[in-house]
Amino acid sequence: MRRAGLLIWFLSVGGALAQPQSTIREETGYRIEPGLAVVEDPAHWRGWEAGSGTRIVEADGTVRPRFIRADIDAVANAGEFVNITVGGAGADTTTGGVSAYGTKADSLTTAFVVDGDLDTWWEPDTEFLDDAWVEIDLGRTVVARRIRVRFAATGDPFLMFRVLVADGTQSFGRQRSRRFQRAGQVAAPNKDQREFVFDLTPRRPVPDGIEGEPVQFVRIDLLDTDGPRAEQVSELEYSRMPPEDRGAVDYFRVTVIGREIPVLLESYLQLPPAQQGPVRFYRREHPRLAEVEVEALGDNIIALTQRALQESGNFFDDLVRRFVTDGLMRTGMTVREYDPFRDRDQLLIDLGARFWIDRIRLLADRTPLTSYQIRLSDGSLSAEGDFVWSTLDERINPERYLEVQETFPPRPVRLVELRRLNLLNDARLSGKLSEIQAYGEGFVSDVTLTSPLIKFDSRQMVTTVHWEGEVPAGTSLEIRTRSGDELIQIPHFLNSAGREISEALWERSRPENRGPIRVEELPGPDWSPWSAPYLETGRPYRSPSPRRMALVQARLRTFQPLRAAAIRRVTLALAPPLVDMAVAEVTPTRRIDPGRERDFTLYLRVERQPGDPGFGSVRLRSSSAAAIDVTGVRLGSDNELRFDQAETLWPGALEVNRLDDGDAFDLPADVDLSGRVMEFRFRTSVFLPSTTFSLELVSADGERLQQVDVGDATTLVSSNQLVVVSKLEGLPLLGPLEIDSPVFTPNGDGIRDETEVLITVFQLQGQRAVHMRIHDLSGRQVRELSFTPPSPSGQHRVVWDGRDDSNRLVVPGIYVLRVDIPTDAGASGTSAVRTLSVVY
Amino acid sequence: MRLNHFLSAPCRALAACLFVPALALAQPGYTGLGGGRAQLAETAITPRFELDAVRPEMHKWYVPRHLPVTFDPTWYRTQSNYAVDSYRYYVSAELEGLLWYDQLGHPMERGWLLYEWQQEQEHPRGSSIWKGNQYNGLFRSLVVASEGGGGLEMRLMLGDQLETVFTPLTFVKPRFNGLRLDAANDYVKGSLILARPSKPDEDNVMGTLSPSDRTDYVNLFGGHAEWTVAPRASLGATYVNAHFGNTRETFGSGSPFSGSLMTIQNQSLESLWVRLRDDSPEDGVGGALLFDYDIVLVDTAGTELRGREIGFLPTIEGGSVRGSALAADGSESIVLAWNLDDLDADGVETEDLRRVHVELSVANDYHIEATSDLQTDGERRRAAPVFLTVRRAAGNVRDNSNATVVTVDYGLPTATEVIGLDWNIIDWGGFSFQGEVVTSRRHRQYPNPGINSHHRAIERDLAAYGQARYERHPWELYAEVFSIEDGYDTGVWLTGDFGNIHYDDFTQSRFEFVEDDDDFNGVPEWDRPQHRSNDTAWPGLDENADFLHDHNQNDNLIPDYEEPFLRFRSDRPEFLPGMDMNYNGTVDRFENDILPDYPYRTDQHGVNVYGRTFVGPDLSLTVGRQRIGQISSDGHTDADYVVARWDLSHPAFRLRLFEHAALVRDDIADPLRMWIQPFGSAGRMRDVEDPLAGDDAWLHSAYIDMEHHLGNAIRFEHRGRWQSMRQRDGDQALLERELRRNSGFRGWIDRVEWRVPVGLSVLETRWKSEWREHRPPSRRLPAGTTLEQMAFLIWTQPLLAESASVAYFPRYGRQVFSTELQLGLELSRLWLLDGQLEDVEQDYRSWTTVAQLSNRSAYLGYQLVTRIGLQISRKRFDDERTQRVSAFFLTVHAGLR
Repeated sequence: MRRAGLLIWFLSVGGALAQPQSTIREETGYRIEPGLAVVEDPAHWRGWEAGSGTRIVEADGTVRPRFIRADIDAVANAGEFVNITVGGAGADTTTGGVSAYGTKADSLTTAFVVDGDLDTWWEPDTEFLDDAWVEIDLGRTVVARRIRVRFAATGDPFLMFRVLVADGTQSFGRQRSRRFQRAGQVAAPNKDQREFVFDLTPRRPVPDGIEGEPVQFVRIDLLDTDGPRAEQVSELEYSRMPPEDRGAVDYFRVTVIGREIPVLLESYLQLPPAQQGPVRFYRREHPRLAEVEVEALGDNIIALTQRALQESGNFFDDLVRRFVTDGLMRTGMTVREYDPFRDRDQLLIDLGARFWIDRIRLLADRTPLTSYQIRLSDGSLSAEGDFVWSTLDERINPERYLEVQETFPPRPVRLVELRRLNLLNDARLSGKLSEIQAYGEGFVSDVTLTSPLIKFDSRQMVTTVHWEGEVPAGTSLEIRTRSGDELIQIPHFLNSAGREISEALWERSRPENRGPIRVEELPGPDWSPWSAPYLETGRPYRSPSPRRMALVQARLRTFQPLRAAAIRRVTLALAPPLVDMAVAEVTPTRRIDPGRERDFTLYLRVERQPGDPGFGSVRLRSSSAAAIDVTGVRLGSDNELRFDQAETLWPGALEVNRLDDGDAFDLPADVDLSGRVMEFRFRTSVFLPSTTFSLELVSADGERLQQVDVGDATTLVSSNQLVVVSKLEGLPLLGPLEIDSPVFTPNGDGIRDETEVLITVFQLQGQRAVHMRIHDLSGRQVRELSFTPPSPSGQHRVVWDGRDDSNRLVVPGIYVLRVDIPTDAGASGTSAVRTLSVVY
Repeated sequence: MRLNHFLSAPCRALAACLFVPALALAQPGYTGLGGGRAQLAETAITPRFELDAVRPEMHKWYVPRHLPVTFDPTWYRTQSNYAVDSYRYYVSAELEGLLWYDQLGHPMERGWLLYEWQQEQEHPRGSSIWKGNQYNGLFRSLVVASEGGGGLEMRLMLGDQLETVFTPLTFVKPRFNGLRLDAANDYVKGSLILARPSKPDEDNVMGTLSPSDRTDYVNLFGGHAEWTVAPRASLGATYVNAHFGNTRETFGSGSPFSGSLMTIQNQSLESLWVRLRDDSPEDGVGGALLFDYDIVLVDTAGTELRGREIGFLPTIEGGSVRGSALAADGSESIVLAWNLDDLDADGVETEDLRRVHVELSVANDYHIEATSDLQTDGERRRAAPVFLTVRRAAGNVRDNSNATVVTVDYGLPTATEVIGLDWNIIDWGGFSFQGEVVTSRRHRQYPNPGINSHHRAIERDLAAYGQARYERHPWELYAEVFSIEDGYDTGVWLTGDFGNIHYDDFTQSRFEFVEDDDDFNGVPEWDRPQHRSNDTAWPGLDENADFLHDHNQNDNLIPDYEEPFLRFRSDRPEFLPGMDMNYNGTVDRFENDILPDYPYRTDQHGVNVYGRTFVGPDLSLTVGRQRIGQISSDGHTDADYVVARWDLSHPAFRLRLFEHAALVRDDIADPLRMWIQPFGSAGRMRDVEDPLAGDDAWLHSAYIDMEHHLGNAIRFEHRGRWQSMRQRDGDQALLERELRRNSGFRGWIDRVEWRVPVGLSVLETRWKSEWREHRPPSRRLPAGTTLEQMAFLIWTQPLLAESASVAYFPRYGRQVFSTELQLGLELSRLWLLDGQLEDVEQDYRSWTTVAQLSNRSAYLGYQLVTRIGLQISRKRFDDERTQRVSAFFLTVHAGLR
């Protein structure tokens, strides 16, 4: 609903956009080139609207549904996660990656441990062991199975180190520090092993089947080092080393009993030669941490899709959903008990698209849900308009496990609903939830991409729609279009914090507290509905044209988790309109008796602008199967037409050609249409509930077509439409049977050897059989003449040659002809009976 | 107040005599239509006071007194001793209450104002209901007045919980809150009802009762009459109407039948939305097809304007183009939005509009809904429009064969009425016939604050059923036929305190003529305003009509078949015989849903015919056929069935057999809300989906029981049930539907009871064995087999008994003594023989012991039963877990017998 408080107006953008399209114009979501509107760059596709986290735009501009992975390295994409902490001194914006390190480290080198490159590393300063640590923020809480630590091949592994993990929750007290737990430690000196894997098992009691541990932060502490004495080398080797690799040089005094005592160089030099012991040279240790990998359960679909919603709406809107779907363990809320009476207080999560999901996991840091139920829906609706749900069993958690999960065979899911129950019948039990997570594997099963408003430079004809993509078996790609001229602009008034406020409040606010006014543009009332899907590339444009704007929608569907359609490029071929405006309307439009020929009058008005190429002929078509018999074409002003003073074009100068589904009128070269109305009078019959007459203007060279719009073409009528609607009330679906020879003589003399039955069917669509049977007077069927036409509505002629099913001539007599059409509605008037006489 | 400080007590008393009546008369609240109230003597012409009360005395009064009527010279409080003087009510009966006058000024009785409902018009908050403290307290919310003579008996009842039933399709309320007048003579009997469903009780503001004053209200009136047109033949007629109104309107404006718009509704319409959806979205094809649309505006002068003619076109969202039409398949929808504010630019004044309707040329499986900016969720800020259904296509048409023009005559709901005829012919030469035809009419009106006479539109839906039986021994023929259209509705929207209606909240904004009370306990199972509800509906019927479920006779939250000792006599519903004629896996009489208690489901029509013959006195055979179809969809239930019953009685035993076999094709879902007792958690109500196991299946259900005894002391009982279903679909189809090929239930119960008198005492020994095998149709539900053996030992020792022997009374059992000490022990052992059940996960053994002392004595005409005792239970599972429960109890029950 458009609220009255919102400023709404319709904007005709023609003037502002009426520029010659001679240049290339880059816009969000598309590019306008001469004769083309193109969508191909990654930047274009990112401007198209789709559910959050549902698509991947590749570097070459290919868009495909996002692949939800089952086993991931959570470090690899940590940088995609940005967290905003609001309020208080802790307000901050953080991005996944290296979040902290010792004071002797720097952000540049520590970042090498998360860059996915084993050839880059972080080397801590071994002289300051207390500061030799690095902390990695995964950006969200993942369920980690194991942590892999890799050291660079060109350096030393850490001599001793430990790995700590934290789930992001913080300790109580004034100092809200993260609660790290040790995930693994190397306590024995290690000189050779360069890769370590530490399995993470749940720290807290969990039910069977739960694996992994919630982790958001990983910290690597260097515990010990050999520093300058990594390896003893010869003096020659030492001398050849670059200075940074040269370690310690130890001097020893030898006692009379042969004992070696280390001494300083100065003391060593003052020793008598007999006491001068060996001099040992060392290589300096280079502990180089190359990569840290966190092997996690998979992509958490809920956090993936819901995080974007955290930034929209009021902060306090649906706080529970916000906190339990943000992917962070540190935030959580108490979930209210589901009220079955009023069907409320459940947690509903809309993923925005259908994902293949096989597991739902609930995490809490304390006082978990003791009983709950999960429902899943793929977004399908019931007849009542409610979602169709698949309900998982009710679960109780009397042991109060902090992590529980539901597993099930993979299924496409769009909505997840969590109901906190009270099955243990204790109202005192609270139910806190930190995270609800969903996991699965496969491409998002149904992604709809909608373009931004594609604004042409002026009213343009879109001739064809082309696209490039991949449609493997088990997938589909559907393209649809809309077009229009008008926009609805809705202003959104923002305060300085970016929150939307009312216009009145915005005007009362001080200038420094005012934010920008964001104008939302929506398709206006003249926009067409979405077209039927384009089944092949290069097909003619199916939306009204010419128009100033268009919308394109691409729907990528997959019916198998591991296959996906992709789209790479969409182009709309543009052409200048033949005339600036062409509108038509027909009369009468309502309560047309189907099956009966009647007169229609159609009015066409065109307006040309200087430079318009114009057209050479007009094509009139009908969606009805019946032929159009033109009875007259006139040209004149409204008054001339009204008072019968208009110029008669046909019969006359106009040339009329019969088409398969209508007529074409070739205009004389000197006809002047400006300011005048063309009137077409014709006779035809309709068989469908609604029949559309369409007019097309054809360029002189016959290459281009312009669809004539529906509109107010003349003041003589006020239908403003080209659709005529049949009289539907009480209409039989089967018209009276017409038989050309009720009495016929199939004796082969060439005179009335057969009879023809004309069957008229109204309204019906789709494949429907028309049953026609001939019986003798005893009721025995002698001939079956049923058939299934491609389109049942219309007139069908069936010939009976007087023979039975065995191709023998029937005996002379009276026969009963029965025609039946089975219909879904079981409507009356779908059968008819006539008699035929065979004489010879 | 200040006057009191300067006047002495006698003066204040005198002043009270002089002024209080006048003040009371002057209070506007007491001069209403309900009659005046004044402290006046019955015979006085003018206000009177007693001169004797005017005495020159200095003392203060320390006793309550009512000076105009009596004068008590004792001015001080005396010591009371109820051993000497009987306890007596504080105020003399003749002084209780106030004197009230009727509208003509005639004094009525002195007393309390129990109930007052008045409706003053042409000012706000004119509809007022007041129920006094005495009405709710002493009179327990029920007042009954009677009159009779000349063969006519009448009874007027005013109550908060009047059980009121007209006919199953029209009005069934176990707790009707309002007024009811019944009258009957030998030929005719009838009832009239009157109520204000929107807040029928007084307001409770901060714990204080005050009259419930409303500007916008919903009033209900109706009646049912039944004529005896011939011996054993009656004809009935019913009319019930609930309509909106507001007291700002003049008396007589609008119509009591079609109602009038509430204050908040009667605004100029700004926006109108019409939505078309697929009525069978699950198939994803053949949804609504829209060929053409137009809005027609009619002004107060009757001038008709078509939207297309003036260029007033809707914004269309959704759907896709198919040929010359717009289609909405599956989850798609087409929304047509007209912004009526735009009309001003076209020179049409919206405040002149009297009627707005939308014409839609549609076909196939359409579902049309409409809403406006006045038809919302009732929120005062950010109100969201709520679509309400206007029309649904019959069946699931995909070939355009139902193309038609639907007119959406927009209006806001103002009234609901049901008009019905019913008949009952009993045994006319073996022929009996009963049935009912009812039409439900929902009135809507187009809002316009500038006019008095609003355009009205009516939606009608029909419901009818008939049941005929012809008996001519040994043959019996029975037929029932019914049809209840999808839109048949016996509910009305209720206004909130501010006149707003929450159209999205069926729980709090609906008043239903026909309640949902599947367990017949007099408490509706759904939560609706203005009455107590109870979500817990025990699965089954109250066949002994004591408002308690037959398997929960102690009315707690545990079924008797789960409770120690009680489970000896109570068996699970699965063991009990019954028909499942909707093939959802639950015996029909044990079903609980959340739908009005119509005799048949809405949106269905069908017929059921059977013939029965008696082969001898004990055996009967029945053959029948059942056909049900959904009206707005293409669901069907077809069944051909055979039923056999054999009841053999012998002095030594009684044997009963029951067999039901059917070939079923049922794809109509009948979801339920049933009691579930899962393992390890509290029992509760839970939604139970219909697995549609009878889509194409053989069904068989057998029941057997036998009772016999050994002497007079030992009694045996055996009971068995075998229910099975075999799917006829192929393996792949069953796999996709997650169904088992063979499913069902088998169970067997043996029971023996032996009573041994030992002097005055009696020892009761009991044993029960229960074997059951569940194999649900859905593969997702666990299957399993259990065996449980239970032994009971109960010792009853009379105390303070005068008799030296125990008396046994035929048919009544042992003499009950006034005071008894009872000791009980129950031992049980359960084996999970196979698989797993929802209520059993592993083997366990348990024991329960009870010691209780009970006493029966008379008090105030009631029999008090006082019990004190202790119960200790322990259940030990195979995984070594143990459940311990102990309970001390002291209870007092009072009953008339």
